[in-house]
Amino acid sequence: MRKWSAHLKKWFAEVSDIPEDVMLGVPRLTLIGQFRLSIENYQSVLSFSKTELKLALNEGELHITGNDFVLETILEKEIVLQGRVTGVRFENE
Amino acid sequence: MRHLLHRTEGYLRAEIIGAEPERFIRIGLREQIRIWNIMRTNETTLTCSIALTDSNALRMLLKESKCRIHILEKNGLPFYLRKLKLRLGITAGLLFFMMLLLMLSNMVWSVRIDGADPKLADQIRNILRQNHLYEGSLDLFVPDTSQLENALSTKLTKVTWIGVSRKGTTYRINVVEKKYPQPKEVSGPRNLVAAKQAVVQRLYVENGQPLVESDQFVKAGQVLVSGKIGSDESFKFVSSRGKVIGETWYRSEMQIPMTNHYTLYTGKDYNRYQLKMWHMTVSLWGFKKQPFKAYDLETVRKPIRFLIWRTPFVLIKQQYRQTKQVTRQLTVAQATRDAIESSEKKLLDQLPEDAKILNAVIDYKKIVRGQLYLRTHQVVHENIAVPKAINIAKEKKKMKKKPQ
Repeated sequence: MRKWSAHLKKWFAEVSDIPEDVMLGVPRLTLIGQFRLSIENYQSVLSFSKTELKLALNEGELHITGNDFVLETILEKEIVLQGRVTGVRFENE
Repeated sequence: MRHLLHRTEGYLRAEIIGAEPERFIRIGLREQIRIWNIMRTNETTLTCSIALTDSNALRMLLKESKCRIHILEKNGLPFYLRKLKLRLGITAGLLFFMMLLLMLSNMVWSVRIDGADPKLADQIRNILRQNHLYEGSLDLFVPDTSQLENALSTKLTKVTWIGVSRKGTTYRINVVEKKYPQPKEVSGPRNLVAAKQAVVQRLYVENGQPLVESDQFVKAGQVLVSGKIGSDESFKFVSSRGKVIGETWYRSEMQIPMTNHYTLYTGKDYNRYQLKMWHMTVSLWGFKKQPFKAYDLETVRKPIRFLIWRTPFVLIKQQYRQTKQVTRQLTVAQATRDAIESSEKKLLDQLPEDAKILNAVIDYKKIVRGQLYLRTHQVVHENIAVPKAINIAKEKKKMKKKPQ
């Protein structure tokens, strides 16, 4: 049933030209060069250190690696990370 | 922009210390406490900026997340204001001192009057006082030096020239008083001679030998009262004194317009004060754009000084004085009367003090292009006697020659 609704949303997004991240509640990542990353539609901060940021998503986790990380802004739906980003990885069990 | 907002609201820069400081951020986000610029210092510590909120909410948050807080900096306006409040005495004192200094810098410290006798100096001081200029007055309300000169010279008739100058906080008034030459008394032997051609009316001789009679026609320079008295054989010289009233005639020509246009002040005025800062002008008082239809505008600019420096601030006072155009149309009779009156006045100014105008006769009167032309002559009774010294040596020689 859940799968059906997900499929329907995806199909509707394609048909109606509404951005998929809005319809599906999946994260949208904006990376500017290597030094600034903004992530929308995240759930919560799991852990944060100078070299790693772990975020909980609707489904799974997002791991960002790099160095000299500073969380510039944290809002309920958006997080802005500064520093040198070297890797972005999704973790789905 | 966002940082500016934080500055006005106030924020803390703090270390969050705990087993899992991320909890603090998660819960803070849920409680809508704004947190930014988060940095990991070590395993158990996060450094972040926290917007200033209710201290109770912050305490709850720390308790819930099992973290401790260590405040590093307190930034923003609220903290700054509190600091200022603690130093209010100093701030107020400093401000008061600056104001006092500013006021003293713009004060008139001395008014010097040079070249006037004490009576006149006192009179000048009184006039200056009416114009807000005295020792201790604020220079900002003192009129322009040229205006002061005008005010002084219109009220003081005994003064030939008056100069007002300002040097720093000192006003200097230079006065040149009118000095009339002392009439030179001829006290030696003298005659009285006729100053001008006239018909003698009356003689009042105190000393000397009158040589003319009433109704006699005399020429200028003719001896009226001789200083030589006695017979030809035994004579002596005296200083003759007296008055000889003679009838003289004067012609005058006048020309006056029948219609006159005057500009009068109605007495209403309007003041506008402006403060000029660099190139910007701010109105302080008086916002009407054009207070009167017809007016005279007087502008006084007063630079505000601070100690020995000029500040870029200038106080500008603009005084609008309402004027009125008045047209006066004269009838022929009025114009004639005015013309005669003014010609008589002009004549009397030239004549000795006790001169009297007996009558004025109009010889010719004509109106051309709105102008009245008038030719008159006046009959005057005046003292025509003027003293003239006698050259005794010459006189004696003449006497000696005669018998031969």
